[in-house]
Amino acid sequence: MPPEPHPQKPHRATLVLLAWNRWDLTRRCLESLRRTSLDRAEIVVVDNGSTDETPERLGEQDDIRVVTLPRNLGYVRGNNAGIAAAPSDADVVLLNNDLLFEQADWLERLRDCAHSTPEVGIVGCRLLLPDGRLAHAGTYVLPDTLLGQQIGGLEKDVSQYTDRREVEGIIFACAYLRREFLDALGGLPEEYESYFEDTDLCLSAWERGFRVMLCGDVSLVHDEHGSTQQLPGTREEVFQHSRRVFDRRWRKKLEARYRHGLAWQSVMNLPSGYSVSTRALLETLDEAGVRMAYQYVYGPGTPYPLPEPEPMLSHRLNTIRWRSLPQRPPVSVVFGQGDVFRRNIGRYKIGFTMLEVDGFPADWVRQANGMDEVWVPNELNRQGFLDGGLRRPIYKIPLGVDTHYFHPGGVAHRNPHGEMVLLTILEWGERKAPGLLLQTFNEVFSAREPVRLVCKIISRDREISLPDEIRRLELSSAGGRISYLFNLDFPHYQLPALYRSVDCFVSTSRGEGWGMPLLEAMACGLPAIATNWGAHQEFFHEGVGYPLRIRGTVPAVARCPYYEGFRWADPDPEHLRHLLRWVYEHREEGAARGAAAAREVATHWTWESAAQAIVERLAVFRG
Amino acid sequence: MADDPIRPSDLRSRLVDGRASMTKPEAELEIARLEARVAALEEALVVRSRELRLLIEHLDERELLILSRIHAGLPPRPRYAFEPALWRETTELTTAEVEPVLEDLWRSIAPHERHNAP
Repeated sequence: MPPEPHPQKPHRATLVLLAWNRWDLTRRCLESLRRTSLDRAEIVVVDNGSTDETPERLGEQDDIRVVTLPRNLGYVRGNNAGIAAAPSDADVVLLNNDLLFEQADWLERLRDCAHSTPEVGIVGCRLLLPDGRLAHAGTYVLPDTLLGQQIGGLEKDVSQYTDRREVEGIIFACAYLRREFLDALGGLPEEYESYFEDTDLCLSAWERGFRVMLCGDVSLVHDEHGSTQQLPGTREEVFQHSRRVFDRRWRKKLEARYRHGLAWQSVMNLPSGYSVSTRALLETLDEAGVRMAYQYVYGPGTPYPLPEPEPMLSHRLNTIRWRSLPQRPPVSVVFGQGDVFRRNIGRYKIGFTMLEVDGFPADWVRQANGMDEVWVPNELNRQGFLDGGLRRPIYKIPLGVDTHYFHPGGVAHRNPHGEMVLLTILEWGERKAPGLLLQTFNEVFSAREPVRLVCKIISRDREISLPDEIRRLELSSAGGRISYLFNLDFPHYQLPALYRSVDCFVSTSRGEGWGMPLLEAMACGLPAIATNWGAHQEFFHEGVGYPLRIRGTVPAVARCPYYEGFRWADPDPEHLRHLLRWVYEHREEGAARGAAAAREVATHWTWESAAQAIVERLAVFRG
Repeated sequence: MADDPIRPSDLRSRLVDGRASMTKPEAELEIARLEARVAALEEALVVRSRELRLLIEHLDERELLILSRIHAGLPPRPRYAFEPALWRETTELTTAEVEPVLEDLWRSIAPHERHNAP
C-alpha cells in the first residue's frame, strides 16, 4: 500500500520536458507552457544530445533548468535523467516537446487528481490531435496482440471521457508521477529504449497497489511523434525490441487476468440495437476479465440470411472477432431474436433476447426450453416467457449505456433562435406511434410559439412513402413546428451531442424491448416523456421524467410477425397533450428531473453494471 | 395570399403629414408627386400579386419552398432535407455527422419561421 501523503505539505512539481533536436517544437511547447498557470512548478528541459540549435537556444532561456546529455540516450533514459534532476520531495510531470498547452489550469487539475486519494501513482490526461480528434484517453493492451492501444479511437471530440477514472495505462506524452510512487518504483524501466515503457510502468503501478488515473478534465494537444517522425526506420527497430521485452515481462500476467471465458453468438455490425449492445458488452466484459469470443449468429438458414459486413471496429472488438472459437465452447450466449436460439453451440447454452410486446411466439418459447437458462433485460419479458410456458430458469440481465460518452456536460450544438427543442428518435411504423406524437404536438402548440419538435426518423420500408404518410397526418402550418432528420445515420458516439443540443426527449412508443434512445437521452440529462409501459419501466419513472399514461393495452397490430396475438400499450393522447404543454411551461422542473435521470443512469444503468450482472451469473453456475 | 393590412388611403394620409411647413404651391406639387408614386406602387403591387398567384397555381410545394428560401436569403436547398417536401425519398441511410446537420437545421429555419417570445 502506498504511504499516506502529507496534505499540509505543498506538492511541488518538476516539469520534465524531453527534447531531441526540433527546436521549433520545443520553443512552441515552452511558449504555450509559459502561458499557463505553473504555480509551485519548475521546468527542467532534458536536452537528449541535440545536434541542431537546441543547446544554444536552451542556454538563452532564463526561467528553465537544462540537463544536457552528451548523446541521445533514448526516451527512457532521457526522462530518467530529468526525474533524477528533480528535488527529492517533488512530484514529476513528464512532458513531450510536441505538446501544446491551451488549458491554463492543466497542472492544477492534474495535481488535484493525483492527490485525490493516497493510492494514486500516475495521472494522464486526454490528448487531442492538432485537428481536434481524440487520440488518447487512456490505454489498454491485450495478451493476444501485445499492441498497446490508445482509448479514443481518433473520434471527433464530443466530450467523451471527460470524467476522472481509473485506466489500465496512459501514454507518457504527459504523465504526472507522484513522489510516493517514484520513491517506490523508481523511474521508467530501462529495459526499454522507447515504447512500452509507459504501459510497463502503469501495469507495475497496479501490481504494487498504486492507481493509474485519467484526468479527463484536462486536454492537451499532441502533435504525435514530432521528434522522431523523420526517422521511421529507427522507430520500427526500437518498437520491435521493446515489444519483445514487454512480451517476456507481461504476456502471462495479462493472460492470467481472465477469470472466465464466454462465447457470444450475436450480431455486432448491422444497424440494430443488438449490434450496439453486443459491441458494448463484448468490450466491457472482456475488460472485466471475461475472455470473450464472438460468432455471427445470423446468415444462411436464419431469418436474416445475409453475411455480416466486416468494417473497422475497435482493436479490442477486432481481436475478439479473430479469436478462435472451440467447436463446443463451455458456455455460449446467443444474443438475438429467440428464433436463433437453436444455433447456440455451447455445452452450457444461454439464450438472451427481448421483445416489445407482452408475450413471445411459441417457436421462441420452444427454442428457449432448449437452453440451460434464459436471459431477458426486463420484467415484462420475464413474465411473458413464463406465461408462454418457459420451463428453464430465467434471469433479468440489464443492458446499459456508456456514460463516458452519454453524460450531461460537453459538446452541444444548440438552436441559436431560442426555441425550446423536443427530440424524438424513431423508426417509422405502428410501434412507435409517430402519428400520435406529430399530430398532438402540432395541435398543442402554435407556430408562433418558440418551440419545435425535431423528429429523427428512419424508414427502410419500401412499401411506404414517408412524405405521403406525413402528409396524411394533415399537420397544420399554423400549429407546432416540426423538423425532420430523414434516414440519417450518425456515428453512435456522436449521439450525445444530438441529445445535449435539445431540451426534452419524447417517446410515444407502444412497446420497447429496452428503450435505448430513452436511456441515452436520460444519461445526457434530458427530461423525457415516455409511455408508462414496457421494458423501460426498469429505469424510467416519475422521479426522473414524465411517464405518459396509457388507456390500457391493445392488440399489437403491425407487420412484424413476432407480435401476432400479443398486446402492447395504448398511450393516452389527452395526457400527452398535457405533458407536452407542461414540459414547455415548467422548464426548471424538467431540468431538475433530467439531472436526476443522469445521476440515476450513471449509478445503476452503465454497461459496467450490466457486465457485472453477467459476471455474477457466470460465477454462480461455474462455481 | 393575405391582404395588405395598410389600405392605400391610409398610406396617402400618412405621406402628407409634413405639408403644414410648405407653401401652397409647394405642397400641391408634393401631393401630386406622392400620389403619382403611390399609383405606381399600387400598379406594381397588382402586377406582383398576379405573378405570385401564377406561381402558387403552377409550382408545387417543393418548388415554393425553394423559392421562399431564396427570398429569405438562404441557399435554395439545405444540405439535408428537414421537410418532407425537400426530401429525396430513399430507404438507404445517409452517413452524416451531428454537428453539420444541426448547424444546417438551425440555419434552415427561415426568418419568417422565427417566433415571438410567448
